[in-house]
Amino acid sequence: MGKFLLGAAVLLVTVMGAITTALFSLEITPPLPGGVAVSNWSVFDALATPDAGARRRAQWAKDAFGALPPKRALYFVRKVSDNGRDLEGGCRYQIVGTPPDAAWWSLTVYTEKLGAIASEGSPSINPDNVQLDDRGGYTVYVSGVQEPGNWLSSRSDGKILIVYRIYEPPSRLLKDLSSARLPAVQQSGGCA
Amino acid sequence: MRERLWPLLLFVALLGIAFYVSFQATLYYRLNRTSIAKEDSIAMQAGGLGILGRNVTLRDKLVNPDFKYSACVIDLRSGPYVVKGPAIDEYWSMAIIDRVGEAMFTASNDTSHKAGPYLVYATGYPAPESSSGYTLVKTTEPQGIVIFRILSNRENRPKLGDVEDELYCAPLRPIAF
Repeated sequence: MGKFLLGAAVLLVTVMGAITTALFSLEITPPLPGGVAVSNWSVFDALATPDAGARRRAQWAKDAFGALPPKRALYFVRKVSDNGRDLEGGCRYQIVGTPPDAAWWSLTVYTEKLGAIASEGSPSINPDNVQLDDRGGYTVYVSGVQEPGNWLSSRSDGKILIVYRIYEPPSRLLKDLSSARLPAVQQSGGCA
Repeated sequence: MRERLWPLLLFVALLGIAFYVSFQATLYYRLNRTSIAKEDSIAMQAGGLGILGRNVTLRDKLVNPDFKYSACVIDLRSGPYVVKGPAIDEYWSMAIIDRVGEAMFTASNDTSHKAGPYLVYATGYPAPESSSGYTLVKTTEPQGIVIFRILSNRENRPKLGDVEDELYCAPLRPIAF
């Protein structure tokens, strides 16, 4: 009888531990976990599909409910600059790239917790407002102080992240995400 | 010695299974709870089931400022729904997601049938008697949300209000209360 009660108690503790661990893991996981690394970007190859595990799906339901599946949109997230350092609010970075072959694309800066950053400029750089150079490429400045040309505000306490969205990506890109030509993100000045 | 070890090993295996099942069940519980809360919020913003809400807030995080969202909570158990996108060349998209946010059907101005109209019904429920003039869409789940993404007002683009006027999401037959 004593052994049975001990066994039941251990089982109960195990179940409670599993529930606590699951809830805790959802709370402590950084936003948008589980992407596939492409260069220094992370892309979500199974978003809005049942192909991912329960933990990623639960986290995405919290952070990205209503997001489109990869065949309609690819979401690339960048948390570090090219030298591997965390992107910090108020610091100056330049994003250098070329527009993708897509129906729509955009570059947007968010707080680390995926909140919007207030800006007196445009909240995103996209096909409607991007200023291209003579070679068809762009340089977007991310900084705490408004700048002429392509500019996104990084005015935020704490870390920031950059989201690069590609809508209606070409099938060849879906087949091989590593073939994506993704923008570089370089620190190019101090912090405000 | 061996005879005494077996019950212990079985018990350890049972603990492992109990941990795994409880862990997964908790995650699914949270997934469902989170999604149902989002669905309720969207239905409330739209004004009820089967009503298309304009400029709906899907979530408070990671919002794309380029788009305005229109959304409609659907329940195909009571019959098919008619869903239609805008007949414009500018980029827009439509997704029918299930109750946990996973896409059951998507369309955009890039896809073959584009704006529709679509006649949507669910697996396990009777197909519509007449589908003339519609593109049939069969979903895997009977409950879900239709989400339209429309580009915000911009120069030289169709006005947002005009585009929203072209969207449609409603039961084929009025819901009986």
